[in-house]
Amino acid sequence: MRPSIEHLTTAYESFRQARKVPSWYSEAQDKSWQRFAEHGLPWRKDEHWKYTSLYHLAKIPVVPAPDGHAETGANPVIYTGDQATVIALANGRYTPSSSSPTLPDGVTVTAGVPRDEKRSALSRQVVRPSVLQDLNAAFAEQWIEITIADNTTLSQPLYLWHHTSGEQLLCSPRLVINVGRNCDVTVVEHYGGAGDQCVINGSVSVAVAENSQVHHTKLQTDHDSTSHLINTNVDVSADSRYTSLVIDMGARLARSDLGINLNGQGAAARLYGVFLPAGGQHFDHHSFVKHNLPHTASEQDYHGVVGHGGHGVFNGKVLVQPDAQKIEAVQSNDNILLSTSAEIDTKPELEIYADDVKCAHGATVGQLDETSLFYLQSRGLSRRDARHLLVEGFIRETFATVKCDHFRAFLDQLIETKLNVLVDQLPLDATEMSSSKPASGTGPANV
Amino acid sequence: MANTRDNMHELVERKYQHGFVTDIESETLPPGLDESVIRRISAIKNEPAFLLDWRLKAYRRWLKMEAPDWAQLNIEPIDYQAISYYSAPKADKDKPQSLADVDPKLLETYDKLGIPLHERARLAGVAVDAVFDSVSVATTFRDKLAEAGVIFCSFSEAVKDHPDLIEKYLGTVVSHADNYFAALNSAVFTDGSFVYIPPGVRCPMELSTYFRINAANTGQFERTLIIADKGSHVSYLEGCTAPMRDENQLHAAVVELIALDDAEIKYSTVQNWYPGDENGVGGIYNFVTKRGDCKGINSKISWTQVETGSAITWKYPSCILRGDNSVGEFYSVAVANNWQQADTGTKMIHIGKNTRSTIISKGISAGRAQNSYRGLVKIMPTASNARNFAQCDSLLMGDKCGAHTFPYIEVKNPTAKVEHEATTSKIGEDQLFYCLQRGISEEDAVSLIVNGFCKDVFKKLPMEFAVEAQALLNVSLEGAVG
Repeated sequence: MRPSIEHLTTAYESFRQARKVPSWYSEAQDKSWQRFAEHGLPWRKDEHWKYTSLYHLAKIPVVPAPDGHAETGANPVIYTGDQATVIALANGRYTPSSSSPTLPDGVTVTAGVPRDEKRSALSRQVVRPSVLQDLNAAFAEQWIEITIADNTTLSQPLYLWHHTSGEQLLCSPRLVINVGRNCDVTVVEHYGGAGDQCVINGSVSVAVAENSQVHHTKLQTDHDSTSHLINTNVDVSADSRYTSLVIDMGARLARSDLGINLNGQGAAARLYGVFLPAGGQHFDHHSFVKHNLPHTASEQDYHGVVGHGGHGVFNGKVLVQPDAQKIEAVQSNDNILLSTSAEIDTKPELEIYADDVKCAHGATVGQLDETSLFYLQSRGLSRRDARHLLVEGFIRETFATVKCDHFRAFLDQLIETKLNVLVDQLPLDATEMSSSKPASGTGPANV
Repeated sequence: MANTRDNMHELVERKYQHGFVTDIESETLPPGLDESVIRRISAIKNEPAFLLDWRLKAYRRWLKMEAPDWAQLNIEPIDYQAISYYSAPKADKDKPQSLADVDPKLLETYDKLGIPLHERARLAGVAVDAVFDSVSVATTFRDKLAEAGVIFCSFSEAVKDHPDLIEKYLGTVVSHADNYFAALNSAVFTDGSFVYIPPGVRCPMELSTYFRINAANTGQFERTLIIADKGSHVSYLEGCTAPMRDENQLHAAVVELIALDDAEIKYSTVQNWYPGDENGVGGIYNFVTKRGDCKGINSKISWTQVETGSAITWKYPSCILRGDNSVGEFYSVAVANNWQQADTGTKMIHIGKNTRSTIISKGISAGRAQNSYRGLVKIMPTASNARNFAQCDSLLMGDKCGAHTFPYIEVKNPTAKVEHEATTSKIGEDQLFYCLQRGISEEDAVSLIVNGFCKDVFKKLPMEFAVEAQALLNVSLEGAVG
């Protein structure tokens, strides 16, 4: 049975009464809601939700995040503003007061309901439509549009601080990032905060015009009761390069859908990911790269380290459209299971309708190499430190793409903290691990 | 020995006696499917009550099921009420009387495959005793098998002679409600093969459906059950490289393998049913459920398949690695040309400790064909030190075809090591160029490269099969130079 949408229906009813939007927009929202309500929340019988359950959502009596500027709070993990341009979002709404006072040349930010129907339609081809997108459209009251003018090179990252606070809130951030021609920009989206049992159901749409470079990092350190559902859709034009790095550390459930349309010859996408679920956390990455035209390239590399009570899911897909010749696509997903109660489900897919292609994918699941551990121990490292070092080496590979040194240092610090938690949970004796019975997760029960 | 020979003759006689004289058995049921049809089939075959109950149970479940739509296949809706579920074997007088009556195109293919003359007649469905007495060959084999204590007979015979074994093992690997096509098969299957290898016996020869008596017209719903008792070994060959004459469009077979402690089963298939013409008209629908249960410790089940025929192939030979230290293998070459569609792969379910599995899948697409690998590797929490390696390569010939890979990997034990790798590419220009400049014709060069691509699988086939399979590959890919 599909998860119940009773609480969401109640939430939508109260949202309808309160919303102050143009009538054409409210009609569009009602339509989106109808589409969502007819389908319901996805469940395991939907192929792309085979391993990820949303039953716990049905139990949270969510309310739509209220208007008015919520506190963006001084969170110890936030990246400080003097090395980046901060654009702050509180519970999905733009908060200029917490953002950098000035924006760099060529960057504009607008927030609100799109001015007219035509603009909101933004008839972009969504790589993999999802009912959660309809849910987002139904509740989203504010579209945050970041526009980067042609020929803009940013020396500092644009740091989008998505802060969640409050209790049992449904946050529906809707973000549109348009990058012009000949640009070189780094965008960091950081989701975090102390919101209790909040549900973040976001939609991010990125369009990259010709001959530009975009580095897009999504860092997620949400509160461990948060459900984080973000759908990112990217259109890459000719001769542009889009690089994505997704890092999951917090939240109870994190599901990231990343769809890439390679729409011009010479377009390339590189997708990297690190997920470190433990203690009842469930992290799910779905990536989908569509090679729509010839001479496009993609590369995917996701690394998962699953600790005690963690569950990791990876589903990567490469689609080569008919007549899209001269394609190179590589995809890999490597995973390490650290504990008997850890689980990983991976499915790297290829769907190819053209013949002049070079496509490859690989997936591995294993554990820390006993001989490497022994070697490190023989050099005087404790077993714990040896594990720590090996895991760190395993995930650090993917950070090489982070160009900004400050930001990489910041990431290192976060990862260090998370790794300590992961490694400290493990029994010290290796034999203990293989013989002990699977224990239930130590954190909140994973459904 | 003499006794067996007598039985043998009796069986052969029976086919003629009952098959064509008795009213009930020579009837062909009208198209349609309901409980009365199933009761009728069971009555015709004179089955024990438990089997009829099982068939009905399967049928009732089937009614509540929906045809699977998850495969990367485009299937025209099938009208199950338009199919006749039982037809008596054809009388010799209805068959072609000599090779001269056979479609010359078919004979041309036989020629290319290098099939001996007397076999051509049998394959083309020429009335057997008119040209070639296969009985004498088969009888020799039967004697040898009986000496070893091996039971190898048609499923119907097994139901009559060994009902205890059937009742004990039937449906234990593929249950009557396993999936849509397996349920349908369970309800209406008409015949198939049964093999039992007693403890400690190494089957003295490769068993092949080719030499099975009464093999004619096992029909579209075939059921095979192979049991390898403790410490035994058997190699079973199914199918044939030559295109078989066949009038049934829908095939839904079920194969169950059971390997007890230290037993080994090697199951090889060559499937070359009618794939439809160049425009995708006609062709066989092949929906097969094949599964092996490595029940005992140290048991091994190995699937090898060469799939070149059928308009649609939906087939996932799988292994349940239940016993500790058990081993599962899957070697596959799937070729799809013209408008053929293949969705094939395997499932390896690791349950026991130290279980190992290997998957080597080679897919070749040409013309407008779609070829998918779909596989599952599942490591259960109990499967400590499980090991899996999977390699799925696809070769594309022509710019209108497709190759797809859908590997599912589910790991619930941290001591498991699972590896999957896949590549997709076409025949390299540089490879072709190299061959051409050495004086090899383009067609030979392609055949050389393709055979090299499939070598890992072909070397797992029994020798004479491997030679035929190579010839078959060349014939299947004729005119599809990349």
